Amino acid sequence: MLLAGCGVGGGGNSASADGDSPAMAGRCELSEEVANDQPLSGEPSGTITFQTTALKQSFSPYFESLIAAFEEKYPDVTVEWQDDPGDAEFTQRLVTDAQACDLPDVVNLNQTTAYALYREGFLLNVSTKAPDYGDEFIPSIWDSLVFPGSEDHYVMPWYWGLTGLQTFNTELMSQVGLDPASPPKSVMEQFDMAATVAENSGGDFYAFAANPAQRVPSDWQLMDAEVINEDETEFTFADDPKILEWLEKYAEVYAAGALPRDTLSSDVDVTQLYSAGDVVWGSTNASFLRYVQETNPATYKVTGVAPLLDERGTAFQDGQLIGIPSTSDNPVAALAFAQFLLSPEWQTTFVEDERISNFPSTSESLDIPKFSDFSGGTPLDRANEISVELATDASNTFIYNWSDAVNSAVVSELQLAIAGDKPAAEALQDAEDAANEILANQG
Amino acid sequence: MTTTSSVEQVPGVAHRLARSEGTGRVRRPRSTAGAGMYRPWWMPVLWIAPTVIVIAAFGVFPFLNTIALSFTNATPLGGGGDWVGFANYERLLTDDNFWRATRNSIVYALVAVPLLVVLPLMMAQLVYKYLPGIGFFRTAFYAPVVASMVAVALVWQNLLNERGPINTALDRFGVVDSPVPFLSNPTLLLLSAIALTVWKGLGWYMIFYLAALANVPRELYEAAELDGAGTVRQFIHVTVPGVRLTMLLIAIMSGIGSLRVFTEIYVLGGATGGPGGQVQTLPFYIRDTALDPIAGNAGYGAAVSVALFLLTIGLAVMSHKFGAKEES
Repeated sequence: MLLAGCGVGGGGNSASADGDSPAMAGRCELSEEVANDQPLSGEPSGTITFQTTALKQSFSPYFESLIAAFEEKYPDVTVEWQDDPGDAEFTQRLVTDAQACDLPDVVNLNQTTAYALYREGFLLNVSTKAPDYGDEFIPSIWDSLVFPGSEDHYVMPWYWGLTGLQTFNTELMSQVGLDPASPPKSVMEQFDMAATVAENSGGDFYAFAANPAQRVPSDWQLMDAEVINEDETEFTFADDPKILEWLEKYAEVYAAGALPRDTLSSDVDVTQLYSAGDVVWGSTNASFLRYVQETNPATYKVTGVAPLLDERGTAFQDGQLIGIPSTSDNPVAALAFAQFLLSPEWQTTFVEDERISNFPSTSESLDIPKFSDFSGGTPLDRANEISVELATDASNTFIYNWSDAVNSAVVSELQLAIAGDKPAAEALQDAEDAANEILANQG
Repeated sequence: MTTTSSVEQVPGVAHRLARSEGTGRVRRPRSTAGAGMYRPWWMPVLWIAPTVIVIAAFGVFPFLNTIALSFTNATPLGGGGDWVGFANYERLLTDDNFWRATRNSIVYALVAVPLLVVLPLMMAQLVYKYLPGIGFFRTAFYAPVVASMVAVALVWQNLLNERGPINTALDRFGVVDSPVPFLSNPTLLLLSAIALTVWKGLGWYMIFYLAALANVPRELYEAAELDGAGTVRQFIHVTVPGVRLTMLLIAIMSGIGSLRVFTEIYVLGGATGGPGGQVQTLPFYIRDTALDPIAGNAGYGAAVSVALFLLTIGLAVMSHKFGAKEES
């Protein structure tokens, strides 16, 4: 049952009219304070758990001072900070916590995990519980951060990155006769250039990694192709001729030797390949440039950065979110802490750290020298400059029902087509059928 | 009725043994001597309780829960789900991906098990006798066992890729014209993963054989030598029969291990399980179907898990029967 107006979202069950059956999220009984449709009120108190993802090792001083400042402001609240390593088992650990009704009170989430928790009613409805909240965030980001079938906000944006950039090795481009000053403006143009790389590189290097998992659905979104219908109830990508052309061209450049064959299915690190000078194009995420800078300064020095917006014309952002589980025993304190963490003041302090290549979610925090002074002329400066330009129009276009299962089913079929084992049209149709079957079974 | 027996004539014994009336079976009364007199009846229960609780909590309960789940449409986050009868099992029968994963798992076991039974025995033979410096080789053979599977698999990924040392060497020596697609050809990828499993398991099973070899009487080798048997015939007619039970144990253990393979496929073949998912094994398929927090179907995943359990039991019974036949 969808509960747009209540304090929990997705499949969570509200209390019955007679109040006999309690509100539930999965097998967890929810408190009246969370389940009703009234804003949270009262003084924050009690102990709350705050979980970040892979930040403790590098940013402990920041979080320690943040927590100390919060506890000074709210002396009745104790914050216990924990950090998840953020590895492949991250989502699984959170699912286990949810099954045990033991989610942290304030938790750092990615979009996929957030949607999974939302669907079963594990996230607090921020729009209901803090109706006036959200004005501080960049409007395009805040407005687009709603889950399919809902107009309410169940998560809050934290730091984020952009898709809409390309990074490339200018030296390798010159070697194969491509002009680094005119990088591709569309995905198909990039494929054409990949064919040139295959022709002229003599097998010494490649265009980009072959695994389509690293390019879908973002390539299709950049091409403004229709991946799924508006309310995310049916995948439609097989019907779009642009996607068929994309797949046929992909298979063509793979057959021509433009892409390393052994990366067709393996989860090889694109950053490593790029850093080692094995591929012309690197990650589309600017934050990887710092890794290149550290591991291979020579490659970093010849790295070019440019927008790649294709027909879409605007970038899309994907970032880290903050959620408050509906199972929290102290939702008032949890909400207060989340708002404190996401306040412009503390976000500004966070992103001012030179090691962070991501962007803050509050408009005010964008007004710092780091995001306006790009006089250094380095690839990172250039990436930041383009990102800031694109940030104004960037929105969240995340396809929430592009789950891991859908991704695996679609990518498997694409791999068969790219390897030449299946005609492109047939593979696309099979991929769409498999994705829709998964969608139908997930309810 | 009390029956007489010789023990009754032994002073101090007869009164300690009681016999069940009418059955003639001997029942041992509670000891009143030594430590026994200080041991209350519940003490043995206390000793075994932790183990029983751990096995019940982390073995028996999850197993029974998996069977129960397989008859539901439960999801990872949505609670227990509704009863769907045999629907999940019916779906299994017509699911091509399930059968592909089953085939891959069986092939994996059929190739890996014989290698893991035979090769460690040969290695154990090599390092069994004491020679100066043999400790180094024993340690070297065992080293892969203690290394992390993920780390080892990453090393293998680098070794096997198109520009890795193996392809470079093959090219240098003119064995191949173009790189061997170890990681992109499904058959070669499966064989590469099997090779990795075997390589990592060699040292572990070698230890079993070293222990077993120590129990083969030296006299048998001396007798065989006197009868003119060479090293090979001694191996076939003395060593192999002497370690047969260990071979059976290793066949069962490595068979179970082979059917549970996941990491090798994941690291070498990627998240899809090789191009097009063609190298997926059953554990891989269970992960794909059951664990996704958005689209996961825990009920169906549980049904696949039960099928994997039955396959494992089948393999163990087959190995046992084969071993028993050999024994007889």
